[in-house]
Amino acid sequence: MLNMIKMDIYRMFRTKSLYVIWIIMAVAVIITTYMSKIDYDAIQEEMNRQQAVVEEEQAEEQVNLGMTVVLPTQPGEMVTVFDLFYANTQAKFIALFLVIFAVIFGTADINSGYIKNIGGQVRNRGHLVLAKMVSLLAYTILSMAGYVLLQVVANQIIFGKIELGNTKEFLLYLGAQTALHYALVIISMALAVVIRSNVISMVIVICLCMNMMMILYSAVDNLIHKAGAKDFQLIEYTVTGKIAMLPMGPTGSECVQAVVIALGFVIVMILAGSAIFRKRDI
Amino acid sequence: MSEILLQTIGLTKQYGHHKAVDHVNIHIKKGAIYGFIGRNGAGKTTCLKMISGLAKPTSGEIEMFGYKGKDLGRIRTRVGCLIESPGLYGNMDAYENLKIKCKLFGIHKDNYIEEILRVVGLSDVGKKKTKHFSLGMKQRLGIGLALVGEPDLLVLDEPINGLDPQGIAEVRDIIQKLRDERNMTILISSHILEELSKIATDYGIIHNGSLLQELTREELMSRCSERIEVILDEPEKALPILDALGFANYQVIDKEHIHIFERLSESAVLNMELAKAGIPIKGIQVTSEELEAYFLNLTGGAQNA
Repeated sequence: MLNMIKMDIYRMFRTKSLYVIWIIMAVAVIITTYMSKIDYDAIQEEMNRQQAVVEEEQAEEQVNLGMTVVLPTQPGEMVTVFDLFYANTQAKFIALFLVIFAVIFGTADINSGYIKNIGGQVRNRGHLVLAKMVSLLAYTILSMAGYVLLQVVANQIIFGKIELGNTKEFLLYLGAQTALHYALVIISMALAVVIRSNVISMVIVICLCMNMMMILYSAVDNLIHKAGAKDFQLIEYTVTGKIAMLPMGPTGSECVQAVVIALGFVIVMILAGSAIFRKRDI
Repeated sequence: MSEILLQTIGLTKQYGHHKAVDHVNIHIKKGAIYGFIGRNGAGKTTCLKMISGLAKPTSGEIEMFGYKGKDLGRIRTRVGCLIESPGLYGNMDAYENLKIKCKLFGIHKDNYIEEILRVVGLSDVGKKKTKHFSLGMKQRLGIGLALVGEPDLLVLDEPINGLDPQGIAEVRDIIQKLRDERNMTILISSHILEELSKIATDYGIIHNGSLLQELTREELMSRCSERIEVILDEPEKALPILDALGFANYQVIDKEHIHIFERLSESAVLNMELAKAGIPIKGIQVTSEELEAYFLNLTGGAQNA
């Protein structure tokens, strides 16, 4: 098992798409930070002119379920690294890059045919999926850490000042979001392994990031509401829903709930993915 | 008798209602180069996938190195395989492709990868990405990948498919060298009998999922060589006559055929003596067969090829 993990980590760092996606993500983060600066300046200017608080207060109340990057900073306040981190993660903007790589990495051995060189020689083929799970954990942590660093640099370059925000809240939020993003990465990888089609898997995971599954969730909600549970909202128990709805200053229980949901999805997807991969012919 | 390294017992693979492999019983001796011959779609690849652990049999059993059933998992690392086209990461070079498999096997020996590259004749490819390799180079790297972990059994599925004559010769040399220098047992499939005949020591002929024949190189050669072919209803009645005439090198092929591999000019005498003994003869002729013709006749003729 350890050798499988070493093999996959070696393979991951020699995959060109890893670096391409990181570069595109970095450029995109700089662009969103720059766009946020333009929005922020426009609001400030408007506020100075009208001496009135415009619709931003309302915007804070809204839940962003799509992929729009909305800055939570109130007019007059300093834009912090946490603000931009929140805006990008809850919009699933970072998740989008992570899941694209997860699909590519998850199916690279299958699509290239390399799996034929190793699939018959391992005692339990399902362990190959577990090895990918570990490699993708390293990838998710590196990507999130890299993103935070990049956001710090982008803030300095574009806003001319680095302010982290509430450190404790930021770390809690970062930890919970990393767990949720990891779960989404594992869902993407497992889907790709099971479906064996990059295109279909990619479409599904992008739809997940854009919360297009809301239609399905609503249908399920309606059924459950008819069964009696009037307050039930399926989206609150999904990874993408949690990514979007986790508040900026999460309480301990909110973080635990997020981690439990992430863990639950990771376990289910890995068990299903490895079981199918073990039993299926190559 | 040589030790049997691999045998399959009633090996079957069914997809829906179609039996791709139907009760195949293969016997491969240790140190043999076993040529697995069959037309496209005969069931060769499916069979090899099951032997390599890439596909699960619907029924039947595989016994290798004395292990079978769930115990096969213990010796899977002793089987290297190249199934269908070589599976390579195109954006990596040959060294990196080999390194990945070495990581899986926990191999850290110095010059291990360089040695494999030397064996398969890819020492000088440098950092060239495998997506820029020729088909022959890819096939050789595929064989190299199968060699990682020093397997005792090498399973090669159509390794010469699509190669030019030089490429075929190179792959043939590698296979020969591996058998001679490393004492490997090699199971190699092809639909080109003529090529297999240059290296194989044993043969299995598969058609429509069923194994038609297993024979040694000597048996194949004798069946294809020049001979007197006698066609009659009860071959056993003719045997005392053949013995009395001093024929020693003959073979009863089936219920209607006897092949005699000596004194080819005496077919007329033989015909007369058999007639005198009251043995009705349907036909007698001196004949020989090309390897390809032998294979085609066995599998239903060229019109189905």
